[in-house]
Amino acid sequence: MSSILIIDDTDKYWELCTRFMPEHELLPPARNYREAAETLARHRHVDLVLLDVHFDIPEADLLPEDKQDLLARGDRDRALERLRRAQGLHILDRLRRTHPDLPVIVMTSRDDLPLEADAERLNAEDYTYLLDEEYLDARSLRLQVEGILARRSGQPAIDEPFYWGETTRMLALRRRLGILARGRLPIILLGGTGTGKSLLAREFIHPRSGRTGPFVAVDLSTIPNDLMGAHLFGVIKGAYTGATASRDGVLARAHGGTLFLDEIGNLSLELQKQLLVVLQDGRYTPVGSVDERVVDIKVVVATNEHLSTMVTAGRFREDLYMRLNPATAVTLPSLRERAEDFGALLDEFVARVGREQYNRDLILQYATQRGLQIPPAGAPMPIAITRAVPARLDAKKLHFLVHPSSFKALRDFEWPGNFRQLEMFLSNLITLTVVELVDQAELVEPSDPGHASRPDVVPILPRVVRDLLRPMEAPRVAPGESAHADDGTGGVQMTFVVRPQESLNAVSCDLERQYMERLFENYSGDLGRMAQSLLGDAAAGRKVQLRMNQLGIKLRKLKRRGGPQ
Amino acid sequence: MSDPSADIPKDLLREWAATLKHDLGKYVAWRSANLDDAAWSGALDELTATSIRDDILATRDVGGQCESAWALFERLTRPWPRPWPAELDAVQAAVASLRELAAPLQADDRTAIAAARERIRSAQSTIRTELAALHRRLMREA
Repeated sequence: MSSILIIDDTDKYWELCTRFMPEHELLPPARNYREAAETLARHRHVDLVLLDVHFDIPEADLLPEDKQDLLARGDRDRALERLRRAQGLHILDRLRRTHPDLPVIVMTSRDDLPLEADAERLNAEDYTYLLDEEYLDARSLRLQVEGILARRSGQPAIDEPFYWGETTRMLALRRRLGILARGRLPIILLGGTGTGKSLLAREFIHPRSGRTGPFVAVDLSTIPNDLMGAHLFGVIKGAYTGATASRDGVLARAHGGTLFLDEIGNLSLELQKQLLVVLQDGRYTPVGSVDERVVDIKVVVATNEHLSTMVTAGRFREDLYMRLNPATAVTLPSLRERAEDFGALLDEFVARVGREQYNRDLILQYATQRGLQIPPAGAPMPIAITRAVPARLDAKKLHFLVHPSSFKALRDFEWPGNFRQLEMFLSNLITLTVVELVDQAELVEPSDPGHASRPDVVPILPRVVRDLLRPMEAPRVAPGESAHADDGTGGVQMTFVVRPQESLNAVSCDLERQYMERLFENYSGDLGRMAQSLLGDAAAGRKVQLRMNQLGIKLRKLKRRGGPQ
Repeated sequence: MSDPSADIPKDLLREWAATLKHDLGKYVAWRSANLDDAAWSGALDELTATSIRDDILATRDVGGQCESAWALFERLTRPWPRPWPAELDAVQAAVASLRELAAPLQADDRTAIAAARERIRSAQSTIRTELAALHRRLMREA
């Protein structure tokens, strides 16, 4: 049985639904927004809302609460009448601030929407539905309700790649992105490294775009400038030395789907012009060809640079910038900006790293050793971060106990690599902690003897947190203190300070970071050449970038410090 | 002859049409339209009789104030300049046909209601169809 809330100023919908949908629990109708909000707060498990549009209710109950300016303009009675006739849409807007995922059927057809309604936006919203019929046919409504509820019950509880949390700001961001995903205009994603731009493009925007073609992602920071055109637009055999065969570019591969261009600021001015033609006309010409091709793609671009500044500096075409729909650019907040729900974020990411195969096996091994309840085959052991020992033994879950000082240190940390860095940090933390426990059973007991018998509680020592955070802190040695070695090998000589009691892991990460920064400078920010030097593979620039992110190196800062222009 | 509605702002006409369509077109057959086909012939059951009476005698029911289909039509068409568009003429005729049944409906005369079922259904259908057509035409002309 599903719970359905009807928001209507009369009993008409309620009576009809009672007759045609007796199998569902129909909550008493809410007559206005306030009553709806109260009902939703009381009944946490409302599955669906049926929302009328026209509300003949007293002025005081009408949204928006602050409507005097609106009413003061022109004919007050007519303005009030308009508010009443579109009240359902005001209620919908308000509900979406707190319930972005709640299915709502707006009880009107598209043709009957009030004149001022934004029909395109309503159609684009997730979980908002209009009636198919011009006049209400209860049997059709029932089919529509059953369809929505069936799809809903088929969804896993957690179907999002990104942790949105429950703050108003993040819920609004999610809603906005969901709407933009369904539109045909390009989307700009802004935000620092590791804030989840590419994850969102792939696993949130593309599935919601309604496109059946593939998702294709390109990181423009890892492709040498001279190969970028061929990579994007394809190339015809013989177009240049080395073009031994014709091949499609990513545009052709993304036809009918979504093309995600990461680090769009790296696109040369010439290629920017060609991308503009794609956005304007859906046409492009492969390198070396005279024949135009047609392409239908949803373009999502990302950058952690200020495109408008680049426009001013002449490094980004203004016409392309305007075509990318900058008015709706979405900025993903950094981890530092998520202090409000940092505790919940920790829980989410700890659970996530606990599902990684290696950690999962380690945790199950520990749980077996300590006599905890092992979950059914294939399922990970539930884990959580806690700041206080749970009152009762919970043999089904493992609690990682962090000291309040550690929690504070984590919350206040800079996290230049944002969520990616947090995930890596927590993965290391869980691995290192559990490995020690599994390998040395005598270390299982917490330092506090009062909790000595609690196998479900694993204390994380503040020292371990400090040691893992330290290498990710801002460098203590300026790059200027490193220099070329004078032994004729072309090596790099670096000055390095190791403090007493510093862990080996901290020292090695610090060293690695300095070395990477030095190489970045030496190769003028060319990640391909860095990859060639480090891994013997010029195509592995992405790997190098990932490692730099993990080490907390901010590429943007390095570039500003004298890297490539 | 000049169009009498030419002096009325177009958006106002569209609003009037939308109101008519919503208040009269939607609710004149709110329950009746969801009855089974079998309800329109044979013995008249309670649900059918109640649905028809409520839809026509209390087409709008706000805060305990009921308005019949003809009262609603009169109120909502009052500002509309004459002569009306063809769609409104058709609606007016259908509403008049319902009004002729006011006495048996108010008296809950089941025999008369049973006999007039097809006529009622046809009038309801005309009101819905014509108001939808009027609204659609004005939206198209916007």
